[in-house]
Amino acid sequence: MAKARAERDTQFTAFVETASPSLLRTAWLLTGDHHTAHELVQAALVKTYLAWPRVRPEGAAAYARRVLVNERTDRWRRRHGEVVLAEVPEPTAAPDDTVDDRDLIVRLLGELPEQQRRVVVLRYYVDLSEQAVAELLGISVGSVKSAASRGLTSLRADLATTEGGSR
Amino acid sequence: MTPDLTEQRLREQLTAAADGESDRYPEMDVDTLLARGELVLRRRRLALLAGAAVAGLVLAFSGWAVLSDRSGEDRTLPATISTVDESVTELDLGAIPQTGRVTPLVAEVGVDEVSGSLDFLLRTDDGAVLASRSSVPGGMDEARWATMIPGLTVALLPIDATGAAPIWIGEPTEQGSAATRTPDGRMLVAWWTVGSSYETFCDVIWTDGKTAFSAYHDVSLPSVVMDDTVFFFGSVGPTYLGFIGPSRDGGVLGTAGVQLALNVPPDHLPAVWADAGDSGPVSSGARGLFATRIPVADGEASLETIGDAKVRLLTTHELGGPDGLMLVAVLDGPRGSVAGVTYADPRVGTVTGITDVE
Repeated sequence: MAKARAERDTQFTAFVETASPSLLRTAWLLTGDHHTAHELVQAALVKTYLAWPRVRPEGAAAYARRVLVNERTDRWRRRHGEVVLAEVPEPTAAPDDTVDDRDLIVRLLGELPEQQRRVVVLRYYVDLSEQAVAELLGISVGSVKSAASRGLTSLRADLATTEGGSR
Repeated sequence: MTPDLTEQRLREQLTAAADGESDRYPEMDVDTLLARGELVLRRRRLALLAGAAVAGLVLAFSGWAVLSDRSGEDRTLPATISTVDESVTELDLGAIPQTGRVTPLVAEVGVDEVSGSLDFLLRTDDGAVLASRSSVPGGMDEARWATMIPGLTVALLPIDATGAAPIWIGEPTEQGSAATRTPDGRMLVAWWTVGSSYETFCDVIWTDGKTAFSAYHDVSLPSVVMDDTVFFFGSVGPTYLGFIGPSRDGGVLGTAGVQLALNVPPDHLPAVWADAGDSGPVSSGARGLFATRIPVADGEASLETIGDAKVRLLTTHELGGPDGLMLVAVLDGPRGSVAGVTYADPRVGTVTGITDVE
């Protein structure tokens, strides 16, 4: 029992080390908030740990990502009525175009409806197929296509407005 | 950034943003990740910790707790959960490293599946047992508050005067509600959400609209109204939760904080993580693992009242032991119930002193 537990903990530790960066980036894009992203990742890792005996190593990352997205959905539902705004850290160095671009896309992402945001992140950052996104979010492929299209359209429009206004 | 946002361009932008975020927050080294791995498991316990801290207040008035596991069995037992309010003194606080392996006090609360008892254990992080207690279930013949622990999360709900506890046993992500009437005729309505993660909502609302208890980890916790006394809860970051209780005249009743044990070795992870799946019943090894501290100077005691209850804060010195470790809240409730006292001395290692006062 103790040996099995130790072995599992070793495996899990290695998994955490490998998967955390990717999960954290995804969570950050989903939330726009560093602290919340960390919490999401941690929550996802907790559940992954609990499910470890039945999670195949090759599927652990996908499992954790699914939990992460579901966690995000759960929290968003609980806090409906609250406006989740991106809290992008202030640039510590002199602003440049690169930093502005990074911040801008995340800010605009945060203004999308939650479903569109999830789809955009999963589709265009995590690079999941439409089918995979649909399965992960529990929606139809058509809904994924629609959300992705609308999200992209909104981002284009917001981007044009933002940049137009800044000129 | 070009407004011509193609799908490929969006991919690049998102990747750049995510990478940029990583640049701002450099990757952690392995040790940090390991520590975080512990924190991952520990942070969920904050829900338990928060609930326990609150329970320490609430149960002080009643002296009973109801524990429920996911299998649906409920257990009623004396309110020794309040004994998680262990502490170290300010002198000791200065010696607590913020990083590293040393954690001064670790408390474990477990439910014995067979006997239904609540096992309470206090120890240092090197495994030395400082104090322990096993509580025998008791009956519910009066109106009491109770604490419910479905799995590792904590909710609070009232139990009515007949002893018919409107207990709701929630599976993760579910919500529940209950209503009951207190001896003075007021109706209480409780609702809660036991989250799929460590988050837990809980509100207990009087029919006059006052919130008797409200807790939600992950945000600044709202106030508690209890016998016309308001307690404010606040969380600072993921590892700290404190409370202050202003007295009726506006003075501060006291402050306390609970500090998660950030550096407990993996071997000390609670058994529930190893033994209980997220869909199965919590096993007999279900435990919470946490440490708390209350910054009260050694030898200092205070006496205040909360409603009709007297609150005595005792240090180990006052209890006849060595200076500087435990502080115990003893509350003499309106119905004569008094919370237990736990006393520990790490230098001895096995001192256990529990007192129930009627």
